Order: sequence, then C-alpha cells, then structure tokens
Amino acid sequence: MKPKILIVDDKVQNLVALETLLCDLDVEFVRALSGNEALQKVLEHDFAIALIDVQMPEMDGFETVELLRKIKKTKYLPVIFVSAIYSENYYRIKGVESGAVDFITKPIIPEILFGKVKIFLGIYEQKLQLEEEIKRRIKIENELAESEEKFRTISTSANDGIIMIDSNDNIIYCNIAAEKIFGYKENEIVGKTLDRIIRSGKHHDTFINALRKLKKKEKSTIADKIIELTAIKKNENEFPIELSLSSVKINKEWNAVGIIRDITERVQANTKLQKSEAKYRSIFELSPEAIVLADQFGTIIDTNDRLFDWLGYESKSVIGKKLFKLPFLPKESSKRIIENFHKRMAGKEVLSYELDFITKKGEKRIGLVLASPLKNGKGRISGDLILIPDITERKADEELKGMLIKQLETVNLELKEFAYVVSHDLKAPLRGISTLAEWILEDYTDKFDTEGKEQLRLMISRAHRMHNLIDGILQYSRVGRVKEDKERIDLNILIPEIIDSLNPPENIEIVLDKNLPEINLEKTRIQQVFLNLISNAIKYMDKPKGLIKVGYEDKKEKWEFFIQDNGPGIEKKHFEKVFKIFQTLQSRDKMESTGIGLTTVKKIIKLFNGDIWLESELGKGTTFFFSIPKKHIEEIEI
Amino acid sequence: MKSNKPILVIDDDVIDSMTVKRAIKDCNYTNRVDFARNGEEAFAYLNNEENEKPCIILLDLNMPKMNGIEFLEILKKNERLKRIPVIILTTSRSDQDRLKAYNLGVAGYMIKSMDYSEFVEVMKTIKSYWSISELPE
Repeated sequence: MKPKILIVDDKVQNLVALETLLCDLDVEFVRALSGNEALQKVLEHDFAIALIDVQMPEMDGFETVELLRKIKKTKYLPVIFVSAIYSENYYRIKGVESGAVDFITKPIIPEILFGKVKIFLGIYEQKLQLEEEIKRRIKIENELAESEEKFRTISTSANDGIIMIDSNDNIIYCNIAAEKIFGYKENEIVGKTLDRIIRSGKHHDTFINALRKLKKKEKSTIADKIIELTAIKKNENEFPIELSLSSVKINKEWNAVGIIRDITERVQANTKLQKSEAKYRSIFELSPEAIVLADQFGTIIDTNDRLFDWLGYESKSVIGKKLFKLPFLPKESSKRIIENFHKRMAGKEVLSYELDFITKKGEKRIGLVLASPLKNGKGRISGDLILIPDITERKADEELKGMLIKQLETVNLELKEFAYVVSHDLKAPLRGISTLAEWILEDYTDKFDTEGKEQLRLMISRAHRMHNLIDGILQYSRVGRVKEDKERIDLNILIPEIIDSLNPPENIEIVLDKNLPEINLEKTRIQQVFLNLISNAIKYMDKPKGLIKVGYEDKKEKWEFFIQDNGPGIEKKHFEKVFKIFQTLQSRDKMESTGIGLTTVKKIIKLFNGDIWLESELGKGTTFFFSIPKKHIEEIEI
Repeated sequence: MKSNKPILVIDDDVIDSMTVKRAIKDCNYTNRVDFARNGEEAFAYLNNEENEKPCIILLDLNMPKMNGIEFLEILKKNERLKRIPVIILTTSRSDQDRLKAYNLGVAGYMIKSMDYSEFVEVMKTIKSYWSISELPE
C-alpha cells in the first residue's frame, strides 16, 4: 500500500500545485479544503505526512494542528506548515512541540519541499517497520512464555529431579523434586556447582569423562544412557541416584539437563536380595547333603558339590539334564523319581522315600529323597528342591543293629531258659541230698556217734548254702532282665514294710527320716535295694544296742539315700570288694552269706543311672550311700 | 481230709515223691496216695475207669514228656476231671509259671522247701485246709 499524504489548503490551485511538485513520489494524495475537512479525512485514512496551509479562513493551520494533536491517531503525525510569511511565533503554538513539525515558506522552492517530504516519509517508513517489529516481538514473547509455562508445569509435577547446568558446572535450574531429593529448600540449589551434589567415587571418573565429551560435543555415553552415581544430600548424607544427561543449547550457550532418580530403596532392596541370595547360596553350598534344584519341567538348574563328593558327578555334568536321564540313577530309581516329581508338580504331597543311586565308580548307595516344590511369587509351582542325604551307612548300621538286637534277644532267651534250668535242675538234686541227709539223721540217729552226726549236719548246711548261692545268682541275673512297670512308690510306706518283713531283733532300733520322698521306679528293684542294705545292717550288728538310720537328702538333680549303722564297720581296703560277686568279709561258716546281695544292689543302682558308695570306721559303723537321678526317672516315664 | 478218695502226686523226682509220701504219713493222712511221673502217666491213671477219681492232685511243673502246665491245659478242658483241685508243688518261683498256673484255675501254689520239716508244715496246712473245705462230688 502507498503511503498517504494529506494536503490542506483553501485554494484548489495551491493543492494542485503541491501535488504537481511532489508528483515524483510514489504516494497517494488526499485533499482537504479546510481545517474541518482535514479533521474528517484524518478519521478516514492513515497518513504518513500532512501538508497544511497556515492562512485559511474559519480555522487556520495552527488551530487545525492543535486539534489534530488531540486526536490519538494523529498525535504524532508529522506536519509541514506551508506559509507565505515566516514567523518566530510558529514555534510557540500549542501542540507543535509534540510530533515532528517543519515549515516551508512561499514561494515554495520545489527541491526544499521535495527534500523535506522525503525525509518525513523515511521517518514514517521506519515507524511502520518499528511497529511491525514490536508486534513480532510481542508474539514471540507470548510464545516463549507459553512454552516456558509448559516446561515449568512438567518440571514441577515430575517425580524425577531435573537439574540444568551450564558449561562451568554451575546449577542454573532445579525443579521441586530435585530439591526434595537432595534435601534443599526452594531455590537453595541454584548457584551451587555440580560437585556439591555428586560425590566423586566409583563411577565418578566415567561420569566426568562423559560429561567432558558431552561438552566438546563428542559422542558421549551419558547423553542417552542412564548411569548410577553416589549423590550427596544437603546434610552430607550419601545416597545412590540414577542420572540421564543430555546437552541443550540455550542462547548459543552449552547447557546440560539431567534427570535424576533417587534409587535408595531399590538399592536397599537389591542389597537385601543379594544378602538373602548369598545366605541361601551358602546354605546350599555348605549343606552336608546333596541338593538338586530342578525347574518345573524336570531340568536340573543347579546342584551343590556334595553331589560330586557323594556320587562322583560334577555339577557341570548334571546341570541342564532331565531328572529321568541322570547317570547316577538306575532304571528303577529314575522311574520312581520322575513319578514322584510329577506328583509334586501337580501339587500332591510326596513323603520322603529311599532310593538306590550308583556312583561314578559303580558303587551302590542309598539316599533318602526329601523334596519340596518351589513356588514363585504368585504361589505357582516353579520348580523342585530335592535334598538327598546319604543313608547308606545309616541303613547298614540299622541292619547291623537289628541283627545284634536279634542276637541279643536270642542270648537273653537262652539265658532265661538257663536260669530256669539252674533253678530247677540244680536245686532239685540239692534238695534231695539235704532231705535224705535229714532222714538218715532222723531214722538212724542211734547208729551215728557225735562226730558222724556233726558231719551229716555240715553236709546239710553245705547243701543249703549252695541252694542259697543258686538263688542269689538267679536273683542277680533277674535284675535288668525281668521287665517291670514303674509306679509311684511312697517310701514312707515301703520302708516300714520292708523292716517289718525283716523282723529285726529287739536290741536294734531302726530310725527313719520323716517325709521320705515319693519316687517313680520299679517297685521290686527299689525294694531289693533297701531290703539288702537294711538286712545287712541288721545281720552284721555286733553291738548290744544297735542303731540303724535310714534317710535321704534332696540334691536337686538327684536323691541321695543313706543307711547308717553302728555295727562292726568295714576296713577301707574292702570298700570296693564288698560290691564284688561272691565276696564275703567273714567266713561263710561264721556268717551264712552268699556275697550276692550288695552286687545285686549295685547292679540295680547302676540301672537307675545312680551311684553307690560307703563310708565306714572300723568298730564304729558303716554308712551306705546311693543316689538316684530324678531326671532319668522322668525321662523313662515318657 | 474231708474225702477219703486217693491223692494223686505227679512228680518225676523220686526223692520228691518220697518226701511227699513221708510227709503225708507224718501228717497222718488216711487217704491213699498214688504217684504218676509225668502228665502222660497221670492221664493214663485218671482215664482208667478202674481207678477212683482223686480228691486232690499235687502237681510238679517241671517234668519230662508232659509238663505241669501242659497237663493242666488238658485237664481243665476235660468235663469229668476239671473240677479236681490241683495244688502246684514246685521249685519254680517264676512269675510266668505262677501266672499260667492260676490262669488255669489251680487251687494253690507251693514252693518245695529245702527243709523237710518245713515241707511237713506245708503238708499239714494243706490237710487242715481241705479237711474243712467242701469238695465237689
């Protein structure tokens, strides 16, 4: 569009003259014949310049310009006054100071007019261009603001930290998430350098190198790769982060944007997982038993070294093989293992079972297969854990033990029969001898002299002694062989009964501790112990006033009983001897004794897991002690 | 003895039999005493219709051929003989023997004494007991 020039003059010939003078300009002329018309034209057009005649009737040029200056549109409209007379007063008119104003006096010198208008047109052109530029700038600014708003929204709502650095490693931007991650308050990070938030360490050198390359625009790994680094919080605490970095150009300056993620939890979870993995790995490796891990298709995933120790096959040679194709399983075992494997994979319970294995050397071993299905996180069966303890030796031991027990049972039975035979077959002839001797003594008493009678009596007494010895052996052999149930025994009742049965002579007083304990034992056995010890004390009593004490002490783990007498006493050198079978301290002719009673007592106490011993002073008396553990008794109760 | 029927002694030991015989005599029994040396002989005696059914049987346990327990098992199944009181006279103090004997319904269990005079006392007691105890026909 051509720039427009307003020309105002009350004389048409003057207007024509002006147009003619300026006809070389590429402009459009708009005429106004009065100030009023000029004001009207101004509203209809946008003008580059106005040429106004000063001397006009009604409203002169100055008044017109004064009014134009009041209209916003023409406040700065460049005006050239055309006047016949030049006056200094022109400068004083109102409104002239704003906007460009010039003067030209008549007669008009065409070159001057042409020159002035051209200058004003140039100013107009510039003004238009400036306005255009301003518009463009405003548009750009708006767009920029919009894009910045978008970026800010993304950046503030992001969970990941976003940090921007310049080429000197200064942090120039940081979002809320990043402030949170590093423990800073708002705007505290900006201005700090990168080394305040990234710790030099393991991966640090790689990172610095990559950053340098990134700055030099060389190909860099961190531009699109994620790397793990150690970061520092405001409070100097270290924590692991994950960083991805890319470079951006802002105002031709190199910048880098980093996206940061705090991976503390993940690293912790990983560490925990690694620890747990290490723990189970060590259990797996250190297990004294062979362990085989299979997947749900029966392919072996792993085995420990025990399998090699045991069967001679290395893990490597087995991993990847199917359960039913294992070199150490004979055909029958393969069948069973696969059968049970399928059962387990189907969710059925399979109890442990024994299985034959063949070692690499061809030796047969027996293993106990203990397996349990492995489940994944969703509870689905994902494999099988098979534990195989070697029970070959145990089985052999068990067999041997079974055999020994059987042998022992046979021997025991034989012994029992032997005891029976002894009891009857040996005693019967003895009884015959003794009876016949008695009859001879009775029926033929007048045919023997005193010596003959004494010899017969000795014969009878020897027969009796032998009878007692046989009874003693039988009694001794019965201890521990004859089974008897345990029962609660109140010693406050049992011991008086025993004493009663012994019918002690009147010169012997027997004193019992009050509140003897209740014990849980085989009655016959405990009876034999007290009977033998008390009867011995009575039998050997050599004092006119005998005193026998029976008592006990509760020693927490055990009971300690004692039987004390004021009898003849026993020499220390005989302390051990008294417990030996057939040992008597006095001649049997002087004191009829088998020498089996104490032996039997000791055997019973040993069966109770207790102990027996004595204290004695020659001439003053003897005390027999014996202990019975309480625990042992309870254990057997169960 | 309430009855005058014979007493049957079943024992393989000659001296033991003599002891019983002598003790019975010493106790002034009026009953006749018959002897069998084992279970088989005893049944031969008992099943012989010519012999009177004994009023009491004194039975040893340990005997050849048929021992005391075996004899009792058969005796107690015999309708005609099962009510005859049987007293065991033995050297066996075995719990098992005692248990078996009483399970088979014996009337007593006596241990043979080493002492003849003690044995006479035993026999006297048996006599006095059975002289007041009524016996079945």
